[in-house]
Amino acid sequence: MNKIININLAGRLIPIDESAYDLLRDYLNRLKAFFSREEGGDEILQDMEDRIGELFQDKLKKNSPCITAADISEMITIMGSPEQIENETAEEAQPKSEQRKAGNDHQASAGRTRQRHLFRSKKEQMVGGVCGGLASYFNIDPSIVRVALVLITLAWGTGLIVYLILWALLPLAEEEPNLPKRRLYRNPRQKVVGGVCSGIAAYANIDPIIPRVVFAAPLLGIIFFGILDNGIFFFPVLVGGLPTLVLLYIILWASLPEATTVAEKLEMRGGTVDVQSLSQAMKSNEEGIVPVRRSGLRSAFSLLIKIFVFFILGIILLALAGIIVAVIATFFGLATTSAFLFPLSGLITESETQKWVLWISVVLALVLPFITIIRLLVRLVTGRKKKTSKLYNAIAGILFSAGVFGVFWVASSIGRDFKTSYRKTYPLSLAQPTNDTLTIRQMIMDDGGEVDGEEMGWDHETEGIRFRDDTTIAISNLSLRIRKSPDSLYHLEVQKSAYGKNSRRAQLLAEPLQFIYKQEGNVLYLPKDFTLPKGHPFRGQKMRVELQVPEGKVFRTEDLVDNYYTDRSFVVKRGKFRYEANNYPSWDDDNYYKMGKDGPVDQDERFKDTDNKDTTDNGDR
Amino acid sequence: MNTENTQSQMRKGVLEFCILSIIRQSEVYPSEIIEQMKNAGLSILEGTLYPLLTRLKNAELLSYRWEESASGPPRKYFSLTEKGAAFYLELESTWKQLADAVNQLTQARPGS
Repeated sequence: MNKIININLAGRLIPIDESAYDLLRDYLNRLKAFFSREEGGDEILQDMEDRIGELFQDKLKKNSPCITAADISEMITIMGSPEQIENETAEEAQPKSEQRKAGNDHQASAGRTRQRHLFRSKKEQMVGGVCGGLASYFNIDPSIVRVALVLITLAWGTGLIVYLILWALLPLAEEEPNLPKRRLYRNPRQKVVGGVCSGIAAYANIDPIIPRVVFAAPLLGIIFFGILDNGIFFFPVLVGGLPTLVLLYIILWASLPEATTVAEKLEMRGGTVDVQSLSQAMKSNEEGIVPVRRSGLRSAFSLLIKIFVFFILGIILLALAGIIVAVIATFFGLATTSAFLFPLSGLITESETQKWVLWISVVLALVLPFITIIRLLVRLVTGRKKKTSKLYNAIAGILFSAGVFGVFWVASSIGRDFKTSYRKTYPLSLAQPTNDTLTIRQMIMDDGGEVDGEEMGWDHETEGIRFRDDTTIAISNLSLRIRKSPDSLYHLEVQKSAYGKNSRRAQLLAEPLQFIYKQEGNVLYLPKDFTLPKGHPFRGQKMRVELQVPEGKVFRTEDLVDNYYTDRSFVVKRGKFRYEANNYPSWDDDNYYKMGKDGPVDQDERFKDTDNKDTTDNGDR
Repeated sequence: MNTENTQSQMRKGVLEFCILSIIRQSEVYPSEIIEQMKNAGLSILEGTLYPLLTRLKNAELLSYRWEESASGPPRKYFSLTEKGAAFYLELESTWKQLADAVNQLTQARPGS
C-alpha cells in the first residue's frame, strides 16, 4: 500500500507515490549538496527540477496515474546521479585520480578523489567536530570515535587533552568528502531483543551470532558458576561486574536509532547512499534484507531467549534503581547504617507528612537532573539528536519543580519548628566529697546505657550526632560549666532545652531528656552524650550541666572531651539556620583547681603531691 | 584505463561545442537542446547539460530570456552573446582541424 502525494515541482503539479517521493527527495537533496559548491548552483538545480517536472509530465500524459519508484529510477538514468554528472562535466583533467583509483581503492563511486587530510568536521559536529573529522578520516561511525574518546578520557583525562589539542590544530573542513558512510543502527529485522547485536553485526559485516555471544557470555557464565557455587544465582548478577555490558547494551539500545528507511539500511551496511544503490535496494528490498525464515523450533527457542533476557534486564533495572537510592543516601552520609532512611527522617521531620514530602521531594529533585545528565551524555556520545517528546519534558519539568518546591516547603516548616524555645533547670542530687576534692570523669556507656567507668580506651569522636545502634540516636550536645557555689556545698544542676513550633511542643521535646550520671565516692561520672527518646526529631535539644564548687574546695577533671566546655545552640531566625558556639572556660585535665573568691585557681605542684594519695585510682594509668 | 572513462572524456570535450552550435542556429530552451542532440545520435546524461549551461552563462558566453509556454511554466531560451559567438568560431576551427586529423588517422588504416 502506498500513499499518493501531490507535489509542486518547478510549477508543475505531480502526483507521486510515497516511496517514489522519498527517492526523489533524496535525489534532489544530493544534487543540492553537490551543486551547492558551485557558483550558480541554485540555478542549476532549478533548471534540473524544471526538466524533471517536464519528464514526469510526459510520463503522466501517457496515462500513468502517478509517478512511481520505477519512474524515478528511469528519470535518474536519464538525468544522471551527481557522481556521474561530476564525471562528465568536471573541468579539471582526471588522469591523476585514475591512477589513485586503480592503485588505492576500488570504491564504486567514481572520480571522487581528494587527498585525504585530517580536519574537523562541520557536518558531524557536536563540540568541535574533532570526532567527526577523525571518523571521516578513518571512515567509521563518529559514535565509535566518541565512545573511544570517552574511554580514553577516563584514563586521567588524556582524551580531553588530546581532544583540545586536535581542536586547536586541525582546520575546519571547507568541503567534506562524501565517503560511503557506515553508521551503527539497530537492525529491526533479525532482532532478538533490541536489534543492537544484529546492528553491530551489519556494521562490522559479521554474523550476528558473534556480538550476541559476546554480550551473553558473561551473563551465562555468571549464572552457570552461580548455580554451581551457591545456588543464589542472581546475587552475582546484581553485585558483580556484569552490569557494564548490560549497561552498554541498554545505552546502545536507547541511543541508536532503528534503521527503518532504505537509506539507513544501506548506511548500516556501509553502502554508498546514492541514487543507484537506493533504487537498487528498493527493488531488492523484499529479497536480500528480508529475515531468514525460522523453523518452528528456532522461533520457539528465540522466544525463550527473549523472555529470559527481558527477565534479566528487569532485574538489572531494579538493581540500578537500588543503586540510585543508595547514591542518594550517600549524599546524606548515612550509607553506613543499615536502616539509614528511617532514623534520619525521624530526626529531621516532625510529622509523617513532612517525612514523606521530604523524601519524595529529595528523590525528585535529585533523580531527574541525574537522568537528564545521563541522557545528555548519551546524546553527546552518539552524536544523534533524539527527539524528546514534549510530554516527557513537561512532566519532568513539573516533577522537578515539585521536588524543589517540596524541599523548600519542608525546610520552611522545619524552620517554623525552631520558633520557640523552652528551657528548664533541674537540680541533681550530689553527695558532698569527703576530702574537699571532687574529681570529674567521663562516663562510658555501652549500648544499653550501662555505665562502664573503668575502660579508658574510648574514642574522642563524639562530636555531633551519632547512631548508637540503628534506631537510637545519641547527641553530644552537652556542656559543662563550673562556677562558684553560693553556699558551702557542691551543687549539680542540669538545664534541658529544646525548640518547637510552640512552647508546649518545645517542652514536650525537652522534658523527657534523660541525664544519666553517677557518683562513686569523690568521683563524679558525667555522660558524653544523651539519647533522644524514640520518635523525637532533633530540635536543638541541649543539656547544660552546671557544677557549683564552694569557695576553698578543690575540683579536678580527667579525660573530659574538649567540646564539653562549648555551649552550642541551633537557631533558626527569619528562615536562616544558625549555629552558635559559646565557649566556657576550660580546665586542664589532671590539674587541681581550688575555688577562690573570683573563680577557680590553679594549684601548684606542692599541693598536688600531698594530695596524691587520695586519688589512687589515678595511678593505674 | 576503462573504455567508459575514455568515452566520457571524448564526449566531454565536444559537448560544449555541440551545445554552442545548437544555440547558434536558433534560440532554444534546454529540452530542445537535448532533443536535437538525441536526434543527431548523441545521447548524454541530461543532468550534465544544466551545469554546463550555467557555467557558459556565467562566463558570459550565453544569455537567456524567459518565454511563456503553452504547456507549462515559462522556459529559458538561450542565445549566444558576442563573446560566445567569437568563442564558438574558435572552437569550430579547432574542431575542424581535429576532425580532419582524426579522420585522416583513423581512415589511414582501414584494417582496424
